[in-house]
Amino acid sequence: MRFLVGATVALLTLTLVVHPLLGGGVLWDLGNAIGLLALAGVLTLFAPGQFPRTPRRHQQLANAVLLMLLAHALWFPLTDAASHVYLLPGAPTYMWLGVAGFVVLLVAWQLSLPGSRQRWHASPASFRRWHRRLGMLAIILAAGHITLSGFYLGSPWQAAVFMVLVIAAPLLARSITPRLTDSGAPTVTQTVSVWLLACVAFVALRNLA
Amino acid sequence: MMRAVLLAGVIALVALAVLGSPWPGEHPERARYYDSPEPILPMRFDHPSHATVNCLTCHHEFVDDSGNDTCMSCHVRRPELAAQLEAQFHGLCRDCHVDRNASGDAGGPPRACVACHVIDGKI
Repeated sequence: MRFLVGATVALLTLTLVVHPLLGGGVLWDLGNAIGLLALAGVLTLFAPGQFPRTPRRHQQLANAVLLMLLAHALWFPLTDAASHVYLLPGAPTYMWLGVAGFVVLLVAWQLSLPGSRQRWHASPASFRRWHRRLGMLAIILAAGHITLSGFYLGSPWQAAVFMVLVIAAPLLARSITPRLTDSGAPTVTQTVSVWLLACVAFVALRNLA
Repeated sequence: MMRAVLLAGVIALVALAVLGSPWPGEHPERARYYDSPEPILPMRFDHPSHATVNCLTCHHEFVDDSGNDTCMSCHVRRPELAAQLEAQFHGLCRDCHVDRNASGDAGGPPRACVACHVIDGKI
């Protein structure tokens, strides 16, 4: 739970550093907040306490993250007709990185289901190794999607700190295990509550201030 | 259950990408506007609402003598400029709105893509 709150606060704070009150409108900011929070969710999936102690919560959080990513992807073409071209050939690189990140997470999710896990992996260790690799790849692709789009990370140092943060967080997560396992993995209710609060804060600050 | 939801979502995403938004309103599509060599989105610039902006902010050709035709005659037709079309015009239009908003002046950022991406024969 603390990891989820920490990742959420860190990611959103970093996007607010340069122009905290500057928004692109409620619809754009809400759609992007959903995407950023989904990334915080992916980072949390790496947090200790998630697995193997509470595999069910890990799976539930993964489901919530995938639904958030789907909502993020559907949001823009549904609310702004012109943005559907960003899902077609000719779209900028950062959009293809986002699509690729989503596909990699879908593959990681599918391969982790009981039937697939035994079919594709020789051992539990092999499964965990490839599951983490796919997760890291998805994080790197998502980080490229966010930084290259430049919507909230306009300055180079912001983008650099963001990249370091999202790549280091899963790698460092295991080294700080003892302090974080106490709080355990977040439940779906806790996750949704944090996301709702963060969404409202992000959108309200940028549009009502 | 989760697999069915994800599958339905991915199908909806593909349908949205190919067919566009189901809601009524402007639905710009990529096409060869302004004689562009590649399909692009249409664009609009509302001159009257920008009357207080210095012309030279956009019209560099007034000082560098680089042409006297419409913006698109160079920016979509010349290959070396066409490749940067999106970056250049997003940088020019959107960033100007963002900067003015950040400095407290009137003119916040454009709220939606379709605010600018509609057909304008004069641009």
